[in-house]
Amino acid sequence: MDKIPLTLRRRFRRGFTLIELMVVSILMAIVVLITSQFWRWFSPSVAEMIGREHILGEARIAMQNLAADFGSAVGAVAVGNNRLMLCKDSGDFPNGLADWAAPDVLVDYYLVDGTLQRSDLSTGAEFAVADGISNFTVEQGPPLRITMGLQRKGASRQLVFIWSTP
Amino acid sequence: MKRLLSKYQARKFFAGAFSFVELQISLVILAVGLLGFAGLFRIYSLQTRHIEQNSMPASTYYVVGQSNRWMRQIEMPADMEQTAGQSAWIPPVSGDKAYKIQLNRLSKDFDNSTADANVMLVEDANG
Repeated sequence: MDKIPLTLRRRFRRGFTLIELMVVSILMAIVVLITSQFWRWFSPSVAEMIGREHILGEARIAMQNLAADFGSAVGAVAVGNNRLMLCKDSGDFPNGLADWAAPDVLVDYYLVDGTLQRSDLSTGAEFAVADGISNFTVEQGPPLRITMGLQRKGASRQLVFIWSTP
Repeated sequence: MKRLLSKYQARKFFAGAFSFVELQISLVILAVGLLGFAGLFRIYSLQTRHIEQNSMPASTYYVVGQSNRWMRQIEMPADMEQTAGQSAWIPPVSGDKAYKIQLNRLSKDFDNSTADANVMLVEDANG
């Protein structure tokens, strides 16, 4: 290295020139801008996708619970417009009639802070069925009509269940 | 001035950093990579919608309860139909012979929505 003259050393100095650095910085800034714009467009779609998955899971759970209870239900009434009461035919000899008393089992569905609750009035057992529920309305009809709205992270869905009394 | 190295040799000797063209190419590759990543997410999003359509295609469901008292006894779930007019459960007719249902064995398979039950009918004296 010592044998190389100073003029040559200056001329072929290691690294970028100022102009090169400036151009690279501008290019990097453009890439960052494009990426951020792209992310702004893309981020809500990701959130919506996550929300949609969540809603799908919760809706299926709610639907399975309702199906399980409606399977043996012989009576269903709207209590107010956001509460559902079911009378499930039960006992050793199910008579097929809604007695609204033992041995029939009474089940109550209602909404508390975005969570659909199920309460078994015969045993007192209560549990949360699904969350992310934005509205739960019950119209007596006939036919009895249950509207359930689900909402999460920009995604929403509304499901309607119609039950026909015989 | 005496030259110990040729211009080309000196340039090669001191060359350690990337060239401008190399940097530009790397930026283009980076951008293409980002676009590819976005494409992956797009495919994932479409697949999620496809699954959603398959697993819960409708917004309105007709809840059809069990018409058979045996089925009600073993708590079989209602059918969720997508079209109206499905047969609902039939109310009991007076004069039918009444039976007491004795449930001997019951196993439920929630994954396949099936239940296997062993029941025995005992004529009900009060019925």
